[in-house]
Amino acid sequence: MKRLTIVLLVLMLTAVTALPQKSARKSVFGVNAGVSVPFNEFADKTFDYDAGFATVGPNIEADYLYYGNYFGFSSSIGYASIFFNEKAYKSEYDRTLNGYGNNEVSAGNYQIIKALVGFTFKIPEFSHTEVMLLFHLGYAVAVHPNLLVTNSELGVINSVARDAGGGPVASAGLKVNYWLNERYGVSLNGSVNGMSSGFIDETGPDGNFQMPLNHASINIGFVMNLKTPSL
Amino acid sequence: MKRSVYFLVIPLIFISCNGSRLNYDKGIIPPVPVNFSSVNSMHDDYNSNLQISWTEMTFSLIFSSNRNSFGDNFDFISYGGRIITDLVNGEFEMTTISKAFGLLEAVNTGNNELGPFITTDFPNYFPWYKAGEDRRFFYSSDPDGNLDIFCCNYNFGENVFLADGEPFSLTALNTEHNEGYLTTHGGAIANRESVYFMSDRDGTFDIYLAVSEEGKMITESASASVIRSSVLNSIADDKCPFISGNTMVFASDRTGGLGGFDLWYSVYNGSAWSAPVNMGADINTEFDEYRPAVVSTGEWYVNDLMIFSSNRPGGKGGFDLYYAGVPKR
Repeated sequence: MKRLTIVLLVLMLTAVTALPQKSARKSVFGVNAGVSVPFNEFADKTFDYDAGFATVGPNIEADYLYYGNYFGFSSSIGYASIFFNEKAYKSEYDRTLNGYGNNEVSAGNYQIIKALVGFTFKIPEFSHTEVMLLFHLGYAVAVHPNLLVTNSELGVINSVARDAGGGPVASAGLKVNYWLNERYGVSLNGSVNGMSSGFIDETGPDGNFQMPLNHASINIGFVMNLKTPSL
Repeated sequence: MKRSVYFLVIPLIFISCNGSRLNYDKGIIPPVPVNFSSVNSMHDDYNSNLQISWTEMTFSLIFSSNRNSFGDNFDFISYGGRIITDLVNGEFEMTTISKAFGLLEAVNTGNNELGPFITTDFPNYFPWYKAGEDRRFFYSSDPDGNLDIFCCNYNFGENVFLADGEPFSLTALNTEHNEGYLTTHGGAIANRESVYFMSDRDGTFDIYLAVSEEGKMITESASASVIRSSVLNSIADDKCPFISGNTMVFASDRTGGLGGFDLWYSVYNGSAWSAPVNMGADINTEFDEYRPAVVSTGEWYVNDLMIFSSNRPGGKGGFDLYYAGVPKR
């Protein structure tokens, strides 16, 4: 992790100094909220390997960008609460147990807190609009929810205690800013996030497991230019 | 520009690791009976004994079938196999390969061989015997027209059962009536071995308790105390007892069942057996269910494994073997 941070800092400094841009640079702070949509195994709703039974949940993010006409760097922090699809999970138990007994599933939500830094590539502003691509690396803390499955005939058949894990996260996104005036604007953000985290499962024979937590985020929010002439 | 390309690639690198979340804390043997199709034939297949090594997830299955004589008489058939349990998708599978045991060549005859029961460990109430060396194979055969209980000692060789001497009749238990389906009941009486078996010596088939002479196994006893169990039996036929731990399972066509022979169980509380309980509609049908054998699964599974036979529709013909998970008792 330390090595990764050093590499990123060097790259950022190199980029900022090696690609001098004549135009006025912007220092932008943004806050946005929207939904996180799990994909791949994380969204899988059958008893396949790595299936997460995750479904859409809310998220909120704050980001800071510093850029010129074409290039810049950015960072963000975000929180996502991704729901666990209890209905689909129960359905799989009903299926695999051939309807034996009544199954009940109780689960909380996945939660992800992430901090990211990276680069921004953009096209020059047109019609008060900026379009930029964001590529980030960072670290995320993920919380696996409490999970309890009981069968009326067999008793508790699965239990996973709430546990926090963590791991590196990679993100690629698109951000569109529309400036209402020189200082304020609105933004539309979309990103895909790839990550994986280890969790403890004390009741399982292995004692722990690894889970991919890939998800996309679609947010809207506002941006504020911190570097206007009036400032 | 090249440098920028590298920047694009870096975020796309993603490291994945192994170890999926398990959706079951322990294995679950299907509570609804599964036709053991890989061992069944169009003839009658029943009277099984299942030995399982849970550490190696392998099993040895011995059962009676009249397939070799095309329906004429019953011989023992053997299979080996592997148990596969997937805690992600809940699947339980018993894969089989045909496996010839030398032991069975020694006991199979032109008569009927039924009711296999294998012992593996001397219980602690016989401390003078070495643990793990109780290797007796009990079965029933009818060389004189009526079923008698026999025993053949065995050894292990290359993971197969080999006969260790000639089969011998348990004269302390056998009469001119039918006796069979012996099962041991470890630890019930100090310094004696107690076994249960079925007999029709009193008219209908009933379950009897036999107690060995003091300090002797039942196979060493010239005589035995034989008692008809009043709790376990009914006025109907009560057959094929099999004891696993503190639970006896058996077949009976008594009233209160679902039709034909049903499977019943009784729990031993340390001094007496409980009143028999029907194993319910998950296991029993209006057709015959016969010769149950339960294998304890220890901490590996939520439920225990029971194998039994039934002539219910949907099988390969005649009696077929089925397995199902039953609650631990």
